[in-house]
Amino acid sequence: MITTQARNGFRHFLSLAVQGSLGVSPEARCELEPVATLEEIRQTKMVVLTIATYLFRAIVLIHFSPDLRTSEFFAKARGTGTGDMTGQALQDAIAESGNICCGILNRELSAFFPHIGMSTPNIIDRQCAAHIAELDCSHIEHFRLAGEGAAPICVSLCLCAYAEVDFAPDLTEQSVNTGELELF
Amino acid sequence: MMNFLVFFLLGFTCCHALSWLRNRQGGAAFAQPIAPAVLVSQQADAAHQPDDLDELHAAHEQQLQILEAETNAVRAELQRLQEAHESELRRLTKHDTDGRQVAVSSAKTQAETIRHLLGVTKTFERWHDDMNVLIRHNRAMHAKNDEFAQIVKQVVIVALNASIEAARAGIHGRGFAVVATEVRTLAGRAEALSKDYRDNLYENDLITTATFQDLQAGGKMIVGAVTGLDLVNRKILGALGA
Repeated sequence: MITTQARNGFRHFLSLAVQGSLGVSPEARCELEPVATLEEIRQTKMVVLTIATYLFRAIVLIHFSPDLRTSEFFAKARGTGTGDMTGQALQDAIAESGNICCGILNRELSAFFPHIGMSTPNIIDRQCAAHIAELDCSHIEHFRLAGEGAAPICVSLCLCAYAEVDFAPDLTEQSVNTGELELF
Repeated sequence: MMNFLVFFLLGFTCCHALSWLRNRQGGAAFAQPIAPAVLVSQQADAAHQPDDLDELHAAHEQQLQILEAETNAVRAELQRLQEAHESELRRLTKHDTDGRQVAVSSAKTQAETIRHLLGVTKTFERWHDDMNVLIRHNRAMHAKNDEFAQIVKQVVIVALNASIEAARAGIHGRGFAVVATEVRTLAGRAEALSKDYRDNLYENDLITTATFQDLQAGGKMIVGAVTGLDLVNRKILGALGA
């Protein structure tokens, strides 16, 4: 129910969104590298966000581990000390980055689906992902962030379609402006 | 056309009248000897000229009457058309006013409905609060289950120690060894149940979160659509001058 060009479009927009939100800076290279299976993803927590229209919903899972490496990355990205980027502060920083990421994705999709809405982020345990099949997704893809400016995180894109989903985006578009900022 | 005819007749009449007067005056001013036959002829003509003038005058009068009648008919038709036009204009103006009033009234009713619909955000806030309660509840169940799993682990260790102590007691500890083994078996079953329960809790976390987020995002989609409707309605009200 999700055409090939629509899948390419989702992937392209997710790539733009990640580049604009999950790099150490907007200029730093941050790309999506496919990961074959969920089992290859080792992070222990995940930020969950949903974008919904009446035709489909896109669930974005941002996998992360609240470890030193992740703390250092987000401390550098935010210009704070690593000591300040732990526990709840780290979770809030990742949730906010995820929110910006989905904001960009939401904005890009809104050009094709004018009636669209986005949720606020929630953080759940990585073991919840083992039950992703329960959501009856039409299409699931997993990615690792790659590049010198990429956060040590992985991203899963889960698409649930309720009708035929098709759109033809311009895949050469390289806009990485910050998306809408949801308050949470 | 009628005017042209009137002027033509007037011109014609005037020319004849002038010619007739000239002939009369000329006869007086330039009295010359005229042949008797010509004189007779001229006298005959002169005798007929008043008759011609009367005829022309009568014709002219008749034409004037016809023209006047036609003018009156045209005026009456014009009057009738003007009245019909004014009547239609009044009807259209009333229709336009009524239609505008209906449109303004409808747009205002719609604005009120939209205002109420936008209150649906309160429902989404309520769902959000309920979702947070559910998540807190799930976390509490996770914590209790983790504690339960710790207890089960301790029971396994205790049962193992009991088995060791039963073995030390030799023949007197046989009965105790059976009990210890049974406790270990029960602890193993409890551990499996705890793991299964934890797995269900993770599944519950995912489904709850995904469902809530779908409601939340869908709610924002609806609010966005209603806000768009509100914008269009405001433009309509603005165009209607209301």
